[in-house]
Amino acid sequence: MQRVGDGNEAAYRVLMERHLNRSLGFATRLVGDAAEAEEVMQEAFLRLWRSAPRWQPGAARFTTWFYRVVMNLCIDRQRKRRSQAVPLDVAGDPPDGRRGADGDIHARQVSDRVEDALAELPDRQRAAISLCYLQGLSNKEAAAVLEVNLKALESLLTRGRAALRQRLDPMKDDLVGIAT
Amino acid sequence: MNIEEFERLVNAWGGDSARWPEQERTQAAALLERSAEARALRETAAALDAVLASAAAPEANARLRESIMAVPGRTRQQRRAGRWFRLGASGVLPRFVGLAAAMLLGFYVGTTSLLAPAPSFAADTDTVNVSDYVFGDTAQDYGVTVQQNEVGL
Repeated sequence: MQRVGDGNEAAYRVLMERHLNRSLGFATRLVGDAAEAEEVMQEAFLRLWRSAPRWQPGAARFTTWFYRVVMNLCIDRQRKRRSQAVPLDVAGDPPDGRRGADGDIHARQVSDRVEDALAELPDRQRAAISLCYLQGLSNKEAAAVLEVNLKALESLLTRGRAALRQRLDPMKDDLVGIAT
Repeated sequence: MNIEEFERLVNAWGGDSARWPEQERTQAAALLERSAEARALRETAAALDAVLASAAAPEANARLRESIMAVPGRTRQQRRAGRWFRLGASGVLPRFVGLAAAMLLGFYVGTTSLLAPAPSFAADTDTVNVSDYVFGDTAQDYGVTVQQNEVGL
């Protein structure tokens, strides 16, 4: 990050390669729309580039800081969207940019169901579950991104996992192959 | 640790013991050794972990990558444009331009003899035909006869 702060574009590219896909997944789950998630990522990397000259090593871990930027941008967009809410029958089906054309159909169907179940969770629970189980952040890092203590993170995860279990239970047979 | 405490643990942190809080790991491991119920609870939690992990992560397309890599160049351009705009808005730039224009004009006038050249004072004494300065080549036309004077400097 310090090298990025010195205007080093190669270092900037390294950070992009390292964090883009994972944080794009996080943003897509939070905003629920691929195109909007891409806009969030552009804005997040713009903030990264602009903040780099003022970066203080040791003040925060880069991953924690960057995920927080992404999460806050997603929350802002969701707030705006809710304030300009369109009735569902007018809005039509949201575009689904999550999946590519390739890949195993069954795995894709399972993945879609998991994503749909995640999408129904409240924002904070979805963010907590995504950070811990999909982005691979440690408990401490996830708590830092969400700006809560470990006890509060535990509570978010417990409620989120219970809701997911309930939603995914009817498809248990389909999911068997994945879990073993 | 009893079975309820263990259930609370796996319901929050999942089946992977690496995620469990350190202070609870030893007791949880001991309970797993002796309790089939604990092992079943852990399996259920691990199954949900695996299902979650199977959710496909989207891959950034080339257009998004290009757009993100264009950020440094775009930011530099905006910064340059912003700097000129700020100079213009603060009045520094117009003043600078005015000063530079005045200097250029001065230089042009000085190098192109736009105005009449000053007499040369190369020597301590020189002969100066005053009529040349007053009447130029037309002195004779006015019937003026001027004596040449020696001017000491």
